[in-house]
Amino acid sequence: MENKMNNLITFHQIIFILKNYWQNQSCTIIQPLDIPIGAGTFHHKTFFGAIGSKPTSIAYVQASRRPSDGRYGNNPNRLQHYYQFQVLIKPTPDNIQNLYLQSLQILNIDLKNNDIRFIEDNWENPTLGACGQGWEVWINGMEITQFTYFQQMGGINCDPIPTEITYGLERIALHIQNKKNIYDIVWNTNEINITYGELFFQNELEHSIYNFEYSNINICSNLFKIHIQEAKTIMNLPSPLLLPAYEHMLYGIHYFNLLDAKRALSTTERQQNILNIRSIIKKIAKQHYNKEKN
Amino acid sequence: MNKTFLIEIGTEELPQKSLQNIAKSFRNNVILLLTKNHIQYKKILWFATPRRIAIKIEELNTNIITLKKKYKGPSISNAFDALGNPTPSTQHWIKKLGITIDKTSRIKNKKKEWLYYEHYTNNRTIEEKLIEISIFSIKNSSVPNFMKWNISNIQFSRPIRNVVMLLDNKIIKAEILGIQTNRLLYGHRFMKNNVINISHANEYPEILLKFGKIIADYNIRKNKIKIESKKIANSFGGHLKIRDQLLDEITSLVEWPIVLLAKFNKKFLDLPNEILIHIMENQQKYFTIYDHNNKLTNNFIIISNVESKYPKNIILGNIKVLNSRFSDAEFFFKKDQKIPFKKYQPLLKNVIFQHSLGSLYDKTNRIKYLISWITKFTKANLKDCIQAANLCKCDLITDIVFEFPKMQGIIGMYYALNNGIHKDIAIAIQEHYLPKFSQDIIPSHPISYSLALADKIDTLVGLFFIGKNSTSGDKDPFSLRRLVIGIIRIILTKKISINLFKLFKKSLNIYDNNIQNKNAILENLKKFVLEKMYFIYIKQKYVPIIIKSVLICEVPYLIDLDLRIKAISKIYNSNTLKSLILIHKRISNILKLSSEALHEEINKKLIKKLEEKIIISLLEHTQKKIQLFHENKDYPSILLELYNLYQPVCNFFENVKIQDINTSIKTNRLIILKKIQNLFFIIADFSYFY
Repeated sequence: MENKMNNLITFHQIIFILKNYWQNQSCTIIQPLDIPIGAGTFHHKTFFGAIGSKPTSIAYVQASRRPSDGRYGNNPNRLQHYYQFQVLIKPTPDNIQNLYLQSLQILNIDLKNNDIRFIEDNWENPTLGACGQGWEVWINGMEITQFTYFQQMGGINCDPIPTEITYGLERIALHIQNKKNIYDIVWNTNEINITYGELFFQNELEHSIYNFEYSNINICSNLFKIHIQEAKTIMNLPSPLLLPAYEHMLYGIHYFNLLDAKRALSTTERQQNILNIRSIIKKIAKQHYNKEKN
Repeated sequence: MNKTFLIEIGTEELPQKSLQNIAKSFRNNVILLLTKNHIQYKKILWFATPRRIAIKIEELNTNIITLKKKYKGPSISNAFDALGNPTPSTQHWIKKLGITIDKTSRIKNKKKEWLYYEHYTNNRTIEEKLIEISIFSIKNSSVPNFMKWNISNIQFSRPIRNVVMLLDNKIIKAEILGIQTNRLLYGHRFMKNNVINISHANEYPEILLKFGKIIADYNIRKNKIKIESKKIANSFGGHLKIRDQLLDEITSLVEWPIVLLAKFNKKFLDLPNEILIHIMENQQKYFTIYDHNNKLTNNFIIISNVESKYPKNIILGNIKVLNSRFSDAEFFFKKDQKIPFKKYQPLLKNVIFQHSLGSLYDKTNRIKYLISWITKFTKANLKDCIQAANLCKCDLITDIVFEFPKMQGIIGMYYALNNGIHKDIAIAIQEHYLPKFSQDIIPSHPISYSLALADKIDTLVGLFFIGKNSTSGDKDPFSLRRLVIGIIRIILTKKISINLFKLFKKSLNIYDNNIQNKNAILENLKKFVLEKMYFIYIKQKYVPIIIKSVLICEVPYLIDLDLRIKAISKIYNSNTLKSLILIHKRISNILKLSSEALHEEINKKLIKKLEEKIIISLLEHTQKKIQLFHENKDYPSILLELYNLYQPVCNFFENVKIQDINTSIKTNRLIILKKIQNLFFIIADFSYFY
C-alpha cells in the first residue's frame, strides 16, 4: 500500500526517536514553552540552565516563530512557524559530537553515503546576550542542525561550558522522507497519511498575510513597550521575580520581531530596542547567577 | 642523530576560513623556536584538514647543542683567607651566580689561578624541547576566535580531542593542551571512522591516505579539487572562474574531496546573476560554471566530503537546497517589484543613516545638492545625476537587500532597469559604491563617479562633523580611510579638476552655515586627505621627500599635486634637480638671515651691476613663461625654466654682494632673490630636499 510505506519515519516518529535517544543519554525530557519565541534557546530552561555551575541535561521540542521568514506557504523550505528539537547539556561531554552523529544514525540517516559537514557558524543572539562557537551541520548542502558551545548567556561567561544542539525537525524530515517540499512531509500515518501541509499550510498562509500586511504597527509597538515595562517593574520589586520578568521579555521580543517583519523600525531604533532588551535580560541573568551562587 | 618528528593535533571541525592561517602560523612558530634553540633540521612540512593540523620535521638533528656559560671568579690568592674560608669577594661572586662553593672549580694559566664556574644552560633532552616548542607554537598560533569547551579552561579555535607526538618510532609522552599524547590517528569520520596506529613518524601522511581515506596535505587536496572540477566543467564545454578564496574554503571543508556535477532549475537564470553566484559561492560553497560566452549556466559543482555509493542522492539533496534558496530570492525579487522603484524613496525617511545625520532620505537630498556642483567639473549630465541620486539608496530598504546585504547597488541597478530607467543611471546606482576596497575598480561613467564622489564626500564630511573621525591605530569603525582613498582615486583616475577643499566646505555648510568649529573640521579634513595622499604615493614607491615637498603646498586640486609629484620624480637623481636644489638652498640661506618682509617690487633704479640686470630681465621673462606653463599644468616645463636660472643665479652670487652697506640696495637684492624663490613654490617646497 502506498500510504503505509514500512520504512517511512514520520515527523511524529522523528520527535519520538530523538526524545527516546536523549532520554537514554540521561537528558530530562521537558515540554515546550507556551510563549511565542524565535528559537529553542529562549526556553527558560535553556536560558537559566546555561548560566552558573549547576549541571543541566534537558531536551524538548519547541515551536518557534520568526515572522520575517513567512513565505505565504510558497517556499519549499522556509516557514514562519516551525519546530526545533533542542538539547542542552552542561558540562559538555567529550564525545558530544559522536553522541549527536549517533542520533542521526538512529534516525536512519546513512552517515557513510550522505555528505555531512560541520560548517563554522558562531552563533549569537544579541537580545539574549548569548554567544558561542560551533557549526551548522549540513546534510547534502542543507542545514539540519545548529551545534553550539555556549560561551556566554545573558552576558555572563559560561562555566562550565554547555553545548546546545538544535535540530531543525522539518529539514531532517525532508531528508529522511526524501521530500522536496515541507508541506509534503508525512506527519503521521493512521489509516491515511496526514501531511505537514494539511496541518499547517493554512497557518503559514494566514500568518504571512497578517505579519506582512495586516499587523498593526501601533498595536505591536504598544504591546512591545507594555511587556518591556512590565518586566522592568517586576525586576524592580524588592525581591524580583525572575521567571515572570523573563517571560514578559519574551513576549516583548516577539512583538519586536513582528515590527521587524514589517520593516517598521529604523536602523537606530532597532539597535536601541535591542540594547534595551539586552540590558534587562542581563539584569535577569545576573540576579539568577547571584541567587544560584548563594 | 637525524630523526623525524611528527605532531598532529586532532580537533573538531576547524573554521574553514581560518584553517590555513592556523596551520601555517603553527608551523611558523615551530620554525621560529627551532631556530631560537639552535636545533637543526632539513625540512619542515605542514598538514591541515578540517579535523587536524600537523607538522612533520624531517632529518631533525636530535643532538641538541648545550650552551655552556663560563664564569671566571677571583684569583685563588684573593679567594680564600688564611683559614681557607671564602673571602667576601668570593662570597659575593657565588651569591651572584646563585651557587655554592663546591660547585666551583679552578682554572689556571702560566702565571695565575682563578676560581671558575661552568653553567650548562641547555641541559634538557630533545624530547623536552619539542614538547615545549609544540605547546608554545600551538598556543600562539593565530586563531581568530578562541573558545572553551571543558573545565580545563584551555582555549583554542575548536575543541582539541587528540594529540599524536612521535620522534621516529617513539611517542614523546606529554600532556598537550589537556590531552595525553599517543600514536593513534583517526580516519575519515564517515568513510572509515577507524583508529590507525602509526608506528613511525615517517609514515605520515601516507598512512592516513592508505588506511584512513584522508588527504592530509592541503595543497594536494586543493590541486585535486581544482583539476577535477575543471575537467568536469570542460567535458561539456563549460568553464570555471574559481576564486582562490573560495577554493581555499572548500579545501578546508573536506578530507576526501569528491567532485560532483549538478544542475539547478533553469528558470532561476532570469534572476540577477550576482545573487545566484552569491548564493552558490558564498552560502553553499559551490563552483559556478559559465558557457563560452561567459554567461552563467545552470550547472554547478559540488565538492562532497564522502565517496558515496549513491552520489545521486547527494546531488539531488544539494539541488533541492539550492532551488529552495533561489526560490526565496525569487520571492523577494517579485515582492519588491510590486511597487515602482522610485516609490521606495519616501520610505528612506524611516531609515537612519547615522545618528544625528538624519535619515537616508536626508542623505539623498544632500547628495543631490553636492552632485549639482560636482557635475560642473565632471561634465556629467545634471538631470541624469539628480535622478541617479534620487534612486541610489532606494534598494537599501528592499527585502532582497535586507536578506542579502552584499547585493546593495546591484539590486538597485536591476530594479531601475526593470522600471525603464536609462542604463547609465541604473549602472551609476550600482557603481556609486565603488571602489569598495583598495584594489577595486573605479566607477566608469561620469554619472557613476559624480554620484560616487557626492555620496562619499557626504559620508566623510558628515562623520567628521559629528566627531566620528577617530582613525587612530587600528580603529576605523566607519572605514574612513577606505572612503577617502576612494575619493582620491576617483579624482586622480578620472582627472577631475575640482577644488576638494571647497567641496568639503559646501558639504559641511549643508548642515549649518554657522557651525562653531567649522574651520577646525575643515582643517582636519584637509589634513586627513593629504595624509592619505602621502600613503598612496608611498605605496607606489614614490620618494617620500618628493611627496612631502609637494603636499606641503596644500593645493586643493589633487590632480595638480599628482602632476607635480610625477614631474619632480621624473628628474629625481638628475643633475637638473641637483642644480635646482643647490640654488634654492643658497637663496633660502640668505633669505633666512634677513628679517624684512620683502613684499615690494624690484626697484630698477637701485640696480648697480650687470649680473643684477641680467637676472632681473631673465626673471621677468621666466615669470611670464612659468605663469603660462602653470595655467596648462605643464610642470616638466616649469622645472626646465627654473633650471635655466641656474647659471645666471650662480653668476649673480659670484659677482654681486648681497649685503650692501646701502640697506635699500641690499633689500632690493633680497627682493630679487625672494621672487626667484617664489617661482619654486609654484611646484614644491624645495627645502624638503636638503
